[in-house]
Amino acid sequence: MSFTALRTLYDHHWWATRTLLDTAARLGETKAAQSIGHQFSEPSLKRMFFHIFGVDGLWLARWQGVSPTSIPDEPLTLAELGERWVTLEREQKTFLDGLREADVERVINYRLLSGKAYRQPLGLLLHHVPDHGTHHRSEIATMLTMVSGSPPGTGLARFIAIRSGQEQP
Amino acid sequence: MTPVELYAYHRWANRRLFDVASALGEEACGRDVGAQFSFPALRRMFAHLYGADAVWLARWRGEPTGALPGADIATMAALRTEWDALVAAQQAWVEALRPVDLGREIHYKDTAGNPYHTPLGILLTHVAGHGNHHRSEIATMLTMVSGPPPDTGVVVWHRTVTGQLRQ
Repeated sequence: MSFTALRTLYDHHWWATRTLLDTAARLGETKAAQSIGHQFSEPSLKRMFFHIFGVDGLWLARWQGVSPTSIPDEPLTLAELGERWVTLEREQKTFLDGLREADVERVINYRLLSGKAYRQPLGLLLHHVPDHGTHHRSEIATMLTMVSGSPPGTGLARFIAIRSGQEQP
Repeated sequence: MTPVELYAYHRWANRRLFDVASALGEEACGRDVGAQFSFPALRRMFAHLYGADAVWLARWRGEPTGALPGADIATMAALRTEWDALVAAQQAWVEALRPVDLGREIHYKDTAGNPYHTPLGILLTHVAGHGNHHRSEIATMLTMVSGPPPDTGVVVWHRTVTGQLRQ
């Protein structure tokens, strides 16, 4: 995958997450915090968004040579999470803007929260984060369908079609 | 990730969940799990993955396409047969790509007939991402039917193929 394509993955990741976050926010804080079911990785919309946010932050730290041993405190509201996300996105953008093409081959040594150590190329890990987002956004789409109806599509092809003016938002 | 690596992962993840579901039997895979999912039954969801991959491969090749195939496949066993043939064709096609091909603009129509054009490299990533989206639904459905399935994330795939993780 080219460097430009990798950056497109992140533009899509931020857009898709923000699209669903805005949809969930319109339902109100009570519905966002309500337990929908334990068949999901996290039982509520707010917890699921916080999981994506937390994992994005963990990986950003690992790419920079720091393996956190805990995740940050969960925000009280979805609105607060949305505000904190603006800062995280900016930090991700700064990191991506500072990369050179050769950096994707660099091997990152990191530890999971459990302490287990792994080593994997940065390019693969950069791919993983938006992929992880897609996995959990799919759960969020199912949860939103149960709570209020199907949310808008957030697939990569739709994002590109909108960005290039081939489709209306 | 190169397209070859991405599709090695895509095949691994699809197969991993397909095998978990198949082990539950045809009745469980045909059972209606809920209208909140894109497709209500496991077999139908896997058939959608197969059908979308088939249509996208045809679009990449510049072939005419219609509705997604696979909706009428009656069993997981029959789906496996169709899918294995597609997997072989998709793998051969992806492995024959040259880096310059990734920037090539693909002109295609969606199933409603609307025309689009997008670089091939983006579409290759889209199809793998589409699989990820529906595998997430499958993971939730499997959790409801029998319990959480194994992780199919790309980092787990890489840890597995590099011997850092034993399954």
